[in-house]
Amino acid sequence: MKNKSGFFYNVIKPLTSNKKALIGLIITLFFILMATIGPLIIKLDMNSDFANRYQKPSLKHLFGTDYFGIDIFAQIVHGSRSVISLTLLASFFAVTIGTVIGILKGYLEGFLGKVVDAFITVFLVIPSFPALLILAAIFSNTKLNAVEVALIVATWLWAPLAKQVSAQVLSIKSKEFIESSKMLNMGLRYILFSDILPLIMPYIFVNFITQLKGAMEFTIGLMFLGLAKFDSTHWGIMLNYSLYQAGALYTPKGFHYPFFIILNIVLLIYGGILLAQGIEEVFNPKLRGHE
Amino acid sequence: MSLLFSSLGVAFASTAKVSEIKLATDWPYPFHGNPFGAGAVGGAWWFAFEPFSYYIPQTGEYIPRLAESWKIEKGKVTITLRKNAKWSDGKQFTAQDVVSSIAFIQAMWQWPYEIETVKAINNNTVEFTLWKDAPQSFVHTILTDAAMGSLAPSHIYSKWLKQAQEVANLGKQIFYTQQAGKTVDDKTKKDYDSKSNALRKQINDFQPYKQLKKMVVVGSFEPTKISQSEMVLTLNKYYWNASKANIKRIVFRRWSSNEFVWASLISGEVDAAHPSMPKDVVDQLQLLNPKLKIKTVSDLSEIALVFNFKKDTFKDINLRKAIAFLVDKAKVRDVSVWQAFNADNYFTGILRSMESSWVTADTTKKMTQYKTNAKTAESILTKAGYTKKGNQWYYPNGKPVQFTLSVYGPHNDWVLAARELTQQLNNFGFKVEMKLIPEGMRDQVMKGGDYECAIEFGSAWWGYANPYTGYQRLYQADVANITGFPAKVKYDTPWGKLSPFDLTEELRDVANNQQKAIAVVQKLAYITNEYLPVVPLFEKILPIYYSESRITGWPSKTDAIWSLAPGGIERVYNYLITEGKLKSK
Repeated sequence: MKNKSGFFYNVIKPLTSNKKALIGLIITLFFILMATIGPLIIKLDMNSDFANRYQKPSLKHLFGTDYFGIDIFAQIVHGSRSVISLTLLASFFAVTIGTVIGILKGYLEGFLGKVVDAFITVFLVIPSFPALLILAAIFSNTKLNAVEVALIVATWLWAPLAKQVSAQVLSIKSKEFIESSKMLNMGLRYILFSDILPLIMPYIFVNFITQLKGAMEFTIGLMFLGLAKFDSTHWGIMLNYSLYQAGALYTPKGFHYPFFIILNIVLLIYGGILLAQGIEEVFNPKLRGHE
Repeated sequence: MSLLFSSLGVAFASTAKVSEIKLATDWPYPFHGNPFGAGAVGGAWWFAFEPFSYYIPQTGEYIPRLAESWKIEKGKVTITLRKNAKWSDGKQFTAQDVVSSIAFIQAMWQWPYEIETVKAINNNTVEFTLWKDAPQSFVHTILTDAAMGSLAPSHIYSKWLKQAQEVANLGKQIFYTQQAGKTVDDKTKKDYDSKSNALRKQINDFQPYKQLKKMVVVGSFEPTKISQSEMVLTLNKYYWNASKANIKRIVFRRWSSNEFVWASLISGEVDAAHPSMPKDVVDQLQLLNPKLKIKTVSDLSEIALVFNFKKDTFKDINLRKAIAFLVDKAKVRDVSVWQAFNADNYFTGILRSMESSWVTADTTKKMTQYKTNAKTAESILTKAGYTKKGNQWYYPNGKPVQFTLSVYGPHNDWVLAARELTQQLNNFGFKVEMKLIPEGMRDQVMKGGDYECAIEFGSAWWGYANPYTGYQRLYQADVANITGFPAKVKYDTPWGKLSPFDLTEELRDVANNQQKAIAVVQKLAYITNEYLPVVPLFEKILPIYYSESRITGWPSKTDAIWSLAPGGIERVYNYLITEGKLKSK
């Protein structure tokens, strides 16, 4: 008899047999490959060639050329590195902070619970744009690395998740098995992170994926505020160039320019959402229809 | 029955189509109607207030507006006002209104102290006495600045006039003392501060549009209906030339973004505007709206790469010269503002469109010609001890040549120029990063010196279209203040050692005498070209889009009136409307 325990049977097989998870996984892997080995294969020439602007998609230029006459496909490939690394990092930080604080808020009662709640509320109500302007003024002479930029982005993303996680925890903490753990004196850390966290993991993962869009927008904002290193091939910056600087939507010649950028952004986020939903269906017994 | 018809008549009359022109601009909201308040009166400025004359740079002609005539003597300007000029509430416009306006602008803006006194000789004559060190060119400001005569109607602002005069006199006293190199005593300073603050508070709180239910103007149109998205100006029936105007109403759409204005021009929602527009958008626009015409005029300014001389990065002239040689200016122009005029191969501080009138062939022979050539740039650096390893240049001290190029984010055309320039500089072997200056922080960053090099306006001839204006900007005022270029240092020239600061002072005194001015300009052009306080990229132009679908009577493309547009395009529209040239179909 075959041994049906192990990572393959418990994780890989269920994931690959779920359609959503499989498609999401393929799309996500495609973009991860694009970001890791793409720039090694596809050459990028950023020298402008104004006479060859807005060339239509062809074998020479898969996605055509942009307002500067530069190959859009090559820029998408090279830009994927900063898009994916920055947004993944920022989402990761946001989800980590949001989860820890959310679980604390949900579990803690009395004065401490109120303090944590107030802390979350402060970050929920601070308008992010003026706050970013202040940060830009504070860090105007500092060169921030990717981790620092991701942390700044995460600062404005974690609070809504914390609120939602705390609500989930509130509904879980009155369950019998939590009471049992309490009676067995299992300790706060055990209850929070061994009893409660696994139950809300799928939910957190879905949030992690949906944060990507917000993280991408904030990253662009930071570049425009001069806080993050300005990267011409970042998809958000490319989109900004195409819509606001080059006015590509106002000329039929330039339609492909924003189209391919938006297509890649949508695909990346859609792939992530499919994967997240698939994972939830696979690992959440309530949603596992096939068993 | 007659009652029914008469009421229908009223209804028809009220809905009768008023001839109007639709434009785009910005204005403060809620609208206060106070020229000294935040945001002043927005794009209504040149319609609400009128200067004594309009100056046409292309012909050098002054067209009388609020003034009938004027007499210029040394240190004195006497202006005869139009006898039929009236405020929009029907009150006569008099010399006392000019006295009032000068007192208020000096008190509120600490400018222009070049006017020492202003006197009402009689109802229609006003006499300006200039401060002893005021440049003769300041006469031009008096004649053409709309703030000079009509900002503060005396019958509305009279209750604060004495206070304003007192603050203005104290301000002048402090200014003249400081200019004489003397120290102002603390008591005078404190006195000024307390009186100035007290006046400022009262004037800033004044909201004529709300409190008086109207903003009284002497200009052709008064603001009558203002919302967030639309500002309507109605013809001032008392305006001295109102009878000639065929257009009775101006409707301004909010200039929320360039894209909004593009769309409004394509759809015919506005009749004229001057947004920066990419070439392909212009092509499409003309295809969709063939009645839309384009006229480009020089903006009387150049866009340049400016250096921060307070930092070490660009102190070496060899590095600046290498940059001047390596930059492909035509490429920068193409991606940034395709309609702009190419910068010349000489960086003289004289605008390209004006160069032939001011820089002689003899002077250009003496100067370096910056024709794009990377090899020349390399040779300059190598001779100066710079080295190149791989694709990176190093200073003679072994440090890599690396810097940040800052650019103001909201200025699309500047961002495009910066992106191209960064690419070219990196290709050459410098390590350059581009940094965007956030909206609203341009002054703070540039004046605070928080940059290494940046895209900015270089020489600009706004106001008084004369080389003096451009050199004053480069060596004494705006650009000098942000770059810290050592303008008082004496530089080697074919005429001996000369300082551009002193030469600019010399030019100030002879600016009105073309022959004498040309002699000084040669020296300044030489210094500017050889010591590069800035590297010009292109001469900015103002593209004016105007539609003939609803409005007729636009002047021909060669008409000199278009050259009035830089620094206040509404003056062109105002002139064309009030002279009865523009008509709605």
